[in-house]
Amino acid sequence: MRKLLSIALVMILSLSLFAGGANESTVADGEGTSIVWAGWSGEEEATRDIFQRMRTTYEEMSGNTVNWVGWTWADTAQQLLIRLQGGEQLDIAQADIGIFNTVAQTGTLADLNEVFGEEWLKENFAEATLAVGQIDGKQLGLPWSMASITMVYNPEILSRAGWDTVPTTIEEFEACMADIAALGEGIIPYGVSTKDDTAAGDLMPWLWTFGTSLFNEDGTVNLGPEAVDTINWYKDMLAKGYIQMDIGRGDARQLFAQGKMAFYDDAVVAKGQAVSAGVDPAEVVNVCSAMPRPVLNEGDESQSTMWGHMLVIFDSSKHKDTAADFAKFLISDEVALEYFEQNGMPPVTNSAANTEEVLNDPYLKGFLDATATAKLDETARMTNASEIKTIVVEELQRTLLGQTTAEECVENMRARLSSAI
Amino acid sequence: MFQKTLAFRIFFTVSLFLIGCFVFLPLLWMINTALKPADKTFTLYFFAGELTLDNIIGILSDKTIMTYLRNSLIVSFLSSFMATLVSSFAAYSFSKFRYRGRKAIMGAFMMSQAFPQAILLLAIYLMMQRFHLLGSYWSLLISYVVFTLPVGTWTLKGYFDGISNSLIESAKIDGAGNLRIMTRIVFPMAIPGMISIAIYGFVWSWNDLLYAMTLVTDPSRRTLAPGLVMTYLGEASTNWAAMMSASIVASIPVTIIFVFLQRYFITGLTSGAVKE
Repeated sequence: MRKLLSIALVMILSLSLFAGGANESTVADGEGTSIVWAGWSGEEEATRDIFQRMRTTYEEMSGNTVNWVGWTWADTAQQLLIRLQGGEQLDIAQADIGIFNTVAQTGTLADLNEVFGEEWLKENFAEATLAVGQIDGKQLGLPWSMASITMVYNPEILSRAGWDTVPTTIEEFEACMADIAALGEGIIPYGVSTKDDTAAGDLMPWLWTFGTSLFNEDGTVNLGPEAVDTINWYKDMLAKGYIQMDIGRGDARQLFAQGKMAFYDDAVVAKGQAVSAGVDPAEVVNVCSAMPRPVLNEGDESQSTMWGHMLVIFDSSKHKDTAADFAKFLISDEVALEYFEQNGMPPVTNSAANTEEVLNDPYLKGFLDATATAKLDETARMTNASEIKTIVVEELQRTLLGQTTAEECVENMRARLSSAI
Repeated sequence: MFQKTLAFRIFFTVSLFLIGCFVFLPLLWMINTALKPADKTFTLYFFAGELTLDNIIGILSDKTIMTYLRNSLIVSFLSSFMATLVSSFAAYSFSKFRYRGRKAIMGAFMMSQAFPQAILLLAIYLMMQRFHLLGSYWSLLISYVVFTLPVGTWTLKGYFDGISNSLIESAKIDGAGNLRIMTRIVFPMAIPGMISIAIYGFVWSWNDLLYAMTLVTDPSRRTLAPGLVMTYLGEASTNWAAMMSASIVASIPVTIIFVFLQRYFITGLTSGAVKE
């Protein structure tokens, strides 16, 4: 026993040497300033290298130091809040539209109108793009990459079903789904989300397409009679086997990548799953292309939801100027276009977004076209977005499972949403 | 009598098969996915199609993943040792000494298990920050010891309860002090129990994602669980083949430890269950 304990103690003491170590460096190195940049893309296989390059290039150029702190995409909002509550250094972070409001509600973000100057922002970004990062008149997010969540289709499947062009109206869309179902290859015609938060996200643009919405502009519940038509349309698609229960965004991506699904809703990052599944990046457009969402009547405006990544600067940062300088470097044409070339992330500054390279990219074109009329997710500015989405999805699912009628679904949704807002 | 009936044998075999399916199918599916080429990940076949070792070789030759693996081994061995040591002393105290508040403290130990670990995260984060331990392995080691302590203490207390007090009294008469009695007489008799707690602590820290991701953000100190999730489960793309291959590699150390020490683990956990 004594020998065993002695050996164990020696081992532990040796290992303890590794266990110590300095905390994350937050001090300035040399004469430059040291800032902390947080997010998720710098951790992911597909974007790790380019994020590393962004940092090192900036460090060489400026003499400043950028310390990266990363987590998973799904955990970033939670981890940012923990770090903020702990008072750890945090200067600049990557935030997508989904988590932007959550972070902004903490009151910890700097007004970028003051950091960059209102004029500079207006000179470099379109007004609609800037609006995505505005809350209560303050510019809390700097647009970095933006497009929209629109419908994605597999041209090869459509071609096999006899469709050389994409359906533009709901009537055509139904006919196309019928032809795909008739192929008899076990392909799911449309992978609209029917579970988790993404089901609410997918329902919203269809509600807009049918002429209604969850909420009015004043924040009260809308859900006009067209909402019943939308839910009935979902029920009809389910009955005909065009859509399926228990499909979320992740499931749709996988099935689409397998060639088992013809349409689904996704953002420009859909490319990543196709590439992961072995598709040559240059060939992605042949099996994964964006299209405008079909409209109810010809001449209607196609609907889509805004999607994108922003940069936020924290009010508590002692190095806001350096963070702003780094943000300017990230959105500069050279860096933004390289990010676009490598990872398909669409740039947003007026100069970079209007280059031939971006405008003529066949994969991005569909997403950019849809972005022109894209709207923010109706819950994007709500503090209880998750609760709202849960209500919508629960009522939708009950109806799709035959437990309630479309009329009851909308009534229940209205009552529950009214209590929740 | 019952065991020998045909009905029981059928029931036994079917149950075994079903349980086996639940236990082994996910593992086999993981191996199956790891052995498929990347472009066949979503093609449905079960070992009966194109198979390759490229994914596993890729993981083994990936220096970053190997760094995560090394870090996990350091943290898991250290935390498992520390948890076992602290649990042993705490359990011995609860078992062999009588003092005011003993039962309340024992209850508090058990109560601490009732709180989800996620709820304690912010408090622990702030504590670690105050003590300047964020980013170092110590933050993880202390957290893991805290989480292993209740189960470890209660398990070992059951073990020590089974050791006769007269043995300890005899040692005292022979002039042995408490530390000597513990280290020379009681602990050697509780080796199976201590090994079972060591394994429990090792597996707990090996599998932890939340604390490892929050308390240590420096990639060079990152452990395997957050390392794999961050690397392969991205915002839009998921590299299942690499993730599954890495998971196989990650499970090897735990499997080896368990295979060699399972005899002690089972003895340790069942000890004290039956009063004789």
